[in-house]
Amino acid sequence: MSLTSADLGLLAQGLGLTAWMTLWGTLLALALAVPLALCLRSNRFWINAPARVYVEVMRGAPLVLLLFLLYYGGPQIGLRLSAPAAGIVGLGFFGAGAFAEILRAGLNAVPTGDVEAASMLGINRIKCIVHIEIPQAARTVIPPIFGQTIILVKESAVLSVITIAELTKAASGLATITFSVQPFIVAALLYWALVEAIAQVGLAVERHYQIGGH
Amino acid sequence: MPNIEHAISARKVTKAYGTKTVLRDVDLTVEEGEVVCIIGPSGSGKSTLLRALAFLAPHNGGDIHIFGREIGWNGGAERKVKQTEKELAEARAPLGMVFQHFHLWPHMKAIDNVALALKLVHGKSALEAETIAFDALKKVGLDEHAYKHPHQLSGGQKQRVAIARALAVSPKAILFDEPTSALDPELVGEVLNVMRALADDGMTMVIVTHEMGFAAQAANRVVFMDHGAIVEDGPPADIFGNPKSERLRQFLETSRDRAI
Repeated sequence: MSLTSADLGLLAQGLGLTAWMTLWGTLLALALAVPLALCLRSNRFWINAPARVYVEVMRGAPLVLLLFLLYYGGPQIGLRLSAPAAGIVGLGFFGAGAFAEILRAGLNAVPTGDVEAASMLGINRIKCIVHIEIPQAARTVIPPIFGQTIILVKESAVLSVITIAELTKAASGLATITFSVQPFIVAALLYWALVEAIAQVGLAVERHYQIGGH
Repeated sequence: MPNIEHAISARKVTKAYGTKTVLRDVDLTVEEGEVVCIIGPSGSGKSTLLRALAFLAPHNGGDIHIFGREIGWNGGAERKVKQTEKELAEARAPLGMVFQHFHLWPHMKAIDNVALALKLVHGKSALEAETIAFDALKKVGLDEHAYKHPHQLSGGQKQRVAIARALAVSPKAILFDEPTSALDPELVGEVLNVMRALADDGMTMVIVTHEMGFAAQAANRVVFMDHGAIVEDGPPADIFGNPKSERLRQFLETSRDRAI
């Protein structure tokens, strides 16, 4: 049997939820990643070590575990999050580890001499980070940031385990009712479309900020 | 604490990376208005010495004063009392620096490279900063290229922007770390001409260079370094015309051979 328009509507809603959750998850991840990356680069042990531990934990643990801990474990310590909130926080915490490593690498790629030139002119550390290091690093990290965002889109499929009706959840629900794989195929196409759209935005941003020459 | 104010005075400056000593008890004094060229084979420590003068390569022994004020450490390197970021910035304030690889900030136009410190450090308004920056670029002959990004400029033009950037904040002395070594041969002249004009204006300059012709013409003093130590220090006529040490004689011979 084929999918009805109501079924397609459900899938479209699932797609919307996937896109919405990933968008906020990514923004939260980026917001956390900037201070994390700066901490990772600090020479002081008590600043860089906690950041390093955070990154290692987020890299080592599967997202699904983090979601279980937040959604089912959270209430035990008084942290009651709605499913979408837990989903966004989970994606954000998870993505922040990966984004922080990307930003750290981007900041490391700024030539030492560019920073020395600033310091010779009396520009202090913080102003140098804001006006010289971050703007330069931002350009080099655009492609990997969008790549990681695409990974988050696909990782968001596990949000279904905390009852969020995102695209994968919607598709599997329909599949159970219709005894058909069609919903999965449609879902795969919708994921592809979303990922492709993000990749195109990434390319456009990359082109916009290119400083030529290379 | 030296009581006569030299532009730059380095006393017994030593620097080691682990067990490798790159500067051995270097004494160097530069007076205001002097142009001093530092020459020597690669690995002789000349760039390290220049970077030590600005505390970009922190020394582990001795002390360095810039216009009477100690830089990097308080009370000599041996006491290991490092200056705060603010103290270091104040000690560095009289110094400008020009690097071998320019180190212009690639995301900013030439004029913004020159204007940035005026805005961030010297409290100038955007308009004031731009006016001063434009004048500095004019001084190095690049007013027409003020609104280009570094990647649109040739190596020689980039280095002139870097000189303008150093000049714009009115330093009392400028350190040059092999300013023409990364340039195509046909672009060397335009940079040296700018430097010669600065020297004629009375700017205090310390220049690490492989350009023997320039050193012979433009310098008041030439310092020859080898193995982390100053071997000879004198007027260019003596250094090039009447080298006392065998090592300098050999060095001049090989660089002359290379020139032919």
